[in-house]
Amino acid sequence: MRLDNKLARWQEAGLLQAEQRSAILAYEQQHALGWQGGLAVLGVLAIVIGVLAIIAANWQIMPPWLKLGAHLLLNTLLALGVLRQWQRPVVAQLCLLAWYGLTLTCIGLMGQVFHLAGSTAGALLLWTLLSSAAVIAVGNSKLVLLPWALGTLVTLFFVYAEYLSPRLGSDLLLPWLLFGAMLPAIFAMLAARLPRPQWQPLNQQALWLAGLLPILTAGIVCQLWYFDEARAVVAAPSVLVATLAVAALAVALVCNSRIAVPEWLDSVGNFRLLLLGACVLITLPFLWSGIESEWIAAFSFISLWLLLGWLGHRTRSQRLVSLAIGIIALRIFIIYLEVFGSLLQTGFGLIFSGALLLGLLAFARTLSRKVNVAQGDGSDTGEQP
Amino acid sequence: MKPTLKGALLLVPMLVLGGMSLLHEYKRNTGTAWTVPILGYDPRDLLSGHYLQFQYAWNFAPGAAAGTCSGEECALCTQQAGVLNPEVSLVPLADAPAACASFIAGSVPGADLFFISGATDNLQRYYIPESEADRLQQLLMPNTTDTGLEELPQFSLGLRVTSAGRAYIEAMYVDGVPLEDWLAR
Repeated sequence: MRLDNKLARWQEAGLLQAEQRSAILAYEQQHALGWQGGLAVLGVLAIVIGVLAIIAANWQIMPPWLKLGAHLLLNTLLALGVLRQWQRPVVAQLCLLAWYGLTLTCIGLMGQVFHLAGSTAGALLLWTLLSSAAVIAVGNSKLVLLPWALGTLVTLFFVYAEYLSPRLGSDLLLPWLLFGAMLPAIFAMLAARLPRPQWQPLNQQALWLAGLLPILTAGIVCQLWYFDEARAVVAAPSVLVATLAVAALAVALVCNSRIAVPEWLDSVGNFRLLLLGACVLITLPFLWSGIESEWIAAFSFISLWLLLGWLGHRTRSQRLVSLAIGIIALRIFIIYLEVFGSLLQTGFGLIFSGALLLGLLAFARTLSRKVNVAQGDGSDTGEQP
Repeated sequence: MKPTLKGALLLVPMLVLGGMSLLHEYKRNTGTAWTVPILGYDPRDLLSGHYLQFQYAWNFAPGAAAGTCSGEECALCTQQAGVLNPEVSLVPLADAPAACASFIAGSVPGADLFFISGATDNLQRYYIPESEADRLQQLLMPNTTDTGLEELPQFSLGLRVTSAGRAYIEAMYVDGVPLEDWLAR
């Protein structure tokens, strides 16, 4: 439904005054992107890609110094365009988007003019380092922030592939995994420190990832208990230093009272619990790299989901509780398949698994009932006049 | 946020890139000049995008062998800096400042006289105009005689080498003429 229709309905229902409706419409007309804004974004992207193509073609009519000088001048003019007060603020954001893209093409041009053979990862890293501060400070629209987030993730991917991947499997697996799990939390903390409504789309995505990625990483790393070769990597002092640095970052994050919290985790305490629990589960297989045990693999995975089930109970999320119980039940069934071989053992195993599943079911019903009662209390309270 | 701070955040990257460009330009125009013939080294993968890849035809001194230095800490040493295709030898990097008139730091990965300059292989790429890419590829290929040309042009590369042994590409030459001028003929 269109905004003006919605506002008309709310006005009829007495929720809005006529002046408020007019003010909202005027604000939206000034700030919303609209179809004209969409075309403008396409235009900016076309210009950036066009400049990139001309640079790639090595246009020989212009001498190199003129190409480089003209490019730097263009970027400077765009920077001035960002700073200028426009009637429609979206124009400044479009200038910022162009400035951000053309900073990368300028680095590419520099490499071409001086015949530098640096890696793509190096160019992307320079781009991200040079431009991120300005984008974070000045960007207030998702038309800039989302491309920046995408550019940053692409940079991280290339940096990983170029600089870290050749070393993974030898000594950097643990710190990288921890860092990867913590990264969205770092974004979340940054977002919390810049509490601007314009950041909401990015904020929400970062926060969603901040909760999800540690779970996924821990869930995968728990399976490393099956293989000792993949974990015999923590002997080098540099690895211990890197791991300690990442662990210190994790502690700093979870102790920060201003950190933003994913909606489904409800409170900072729950977020801290999740991050610390995930970090512990990620680290343990590397600390005891000589141990190879399917039991420990299963136990650590179940511990993760018990933690999530407990968090679901604390946040009164019945869906999370049910999901945790379902996954734990599935994992137990896999244990049965792995461990019990003979008929006699299979019999005992099935009885044991069945009993455990029934026990979990009873536990789940009790927990769900408690969650329902708590939610009912909350809604009843909410309906009181 | 103050407008001056915003302006600084937006303009500093341009200043950094401009400064880097000036620094590269300075290094490209100073240092000891080396001019070395080059050869295309893989006809199937000679061009990637619009840059030429090549290998240097170093003029190793008679009796020079990679055994005198191998591994990461080597240098290509010459006593004839400034001349076309100077005679070179391999020496340990630590000995190079005292033993050479000019040297390029690098590595010798194998037993033959294959020298890689710098910590990364950064001197084997020369960007060329898109419209001339095919022609230059043909001319630089070692089997160009098959195409019926009477005489192959000689490609060489001008380098500038700092006193610390770091080399920068200055220009590409075809029969002694800068590539840009040669293309313009």
